[in-house]
Amino acid sequence: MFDNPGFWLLFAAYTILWLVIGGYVFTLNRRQRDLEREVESLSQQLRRSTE
Amino acid sequence: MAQLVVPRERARRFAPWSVVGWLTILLMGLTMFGAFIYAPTDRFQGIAQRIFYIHVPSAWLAYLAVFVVFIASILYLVRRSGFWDRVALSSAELGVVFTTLALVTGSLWGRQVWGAWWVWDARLTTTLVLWLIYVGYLMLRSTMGDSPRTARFAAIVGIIGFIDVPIIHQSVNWWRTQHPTPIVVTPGENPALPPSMLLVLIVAVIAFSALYFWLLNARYRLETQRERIAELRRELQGAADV
Repeated sequence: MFDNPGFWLLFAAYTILWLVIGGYVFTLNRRQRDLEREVESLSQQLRRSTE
Repeated sequence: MAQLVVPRERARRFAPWSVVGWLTILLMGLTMFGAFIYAPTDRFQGIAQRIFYIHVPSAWLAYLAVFVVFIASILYLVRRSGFWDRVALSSAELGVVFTTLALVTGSLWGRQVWGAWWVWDARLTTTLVLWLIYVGYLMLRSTMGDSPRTARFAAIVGIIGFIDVPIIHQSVNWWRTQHPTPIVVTPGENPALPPSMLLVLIVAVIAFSALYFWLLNARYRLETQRERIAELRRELQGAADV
C-alpha cells in the first residue's frame, strides 16, 4: 500500500485539505478574538471620555 | 446585569450557526468514510481517484463562492448597502481558499493520471486565471482601504471576474483538453459514475456546501466587527472634538 505512488498523492491531497481548512478556521478565530479585544478597548475609552 | 445579558443574546444569535457547524462536521465525517471505505477503488486510476471526492466539491465551492460575490456585488451597486459589500468580500476570500484547494488537489490527481503536476490545459489555465482575479480582488480591498470607492471598484471586479466561470465550465467542451469532460452532470444523459461513487460525491458536495455557509457566516462576522470598530472610532473622534 505504501509503495503505491497513488497512496502518497492521496495522503497529500487529504492532508492539505485539512491543513488549509483548519488553518483558515484558526486565522478566522484569531482575527475574531483580536477584533473583540479592540472593540472592548475602544468601548472602554469611549466610556471614559464621556464620563 | 449586562454581563449576564450578552452571553444569552450571543447564544440565541449563534445557535443556528452552531447547528450548521455540527452538521458540517457530521457530513465531513461521512464524506471521509465514503471516500476511504464505502467507495470502490477505481480500476484504472487506482486509489488516487479518491482525490476526486474532495477535488470536485472544492471546484464546486469555488464556483459557488464567486457566484455569491457576483450577486452580492450587483446588489451592492444597486442598493449601496454595506451588507452586500461585506458578503461579497467574505465570499471572495472563501473563493480564493477553495480555488486554491481545487488547483492543488487537481495537480496531485494529475501527477498520478497524467504523469505531470501541471499542464497548460484550458480548464486548468482558466481556473488559475479565476484564482488570480480573486487574489487581485482581495489585494485591491486590502491596499485601497475601506471606502465606498473601494467597495464600488471591488464590486466591478467581482462582477467582471465571474465571466471566467462559464468559460471554465465550458472549456472542456470548447477546446480539446486533457481534463476529463463532465461525468456527473451531463444534459440529457445519466451520470457516468457508478451509483456508490455518485452517492459519496453527492454527500461530499452537501458537506462542502455546509462548510462554505458556516465559514461565510464566520467571515461575515469579522466584517461586522470591523464595522463596529470604525463606528466606535468615529464616536471617539466626535467625543474628542466636543
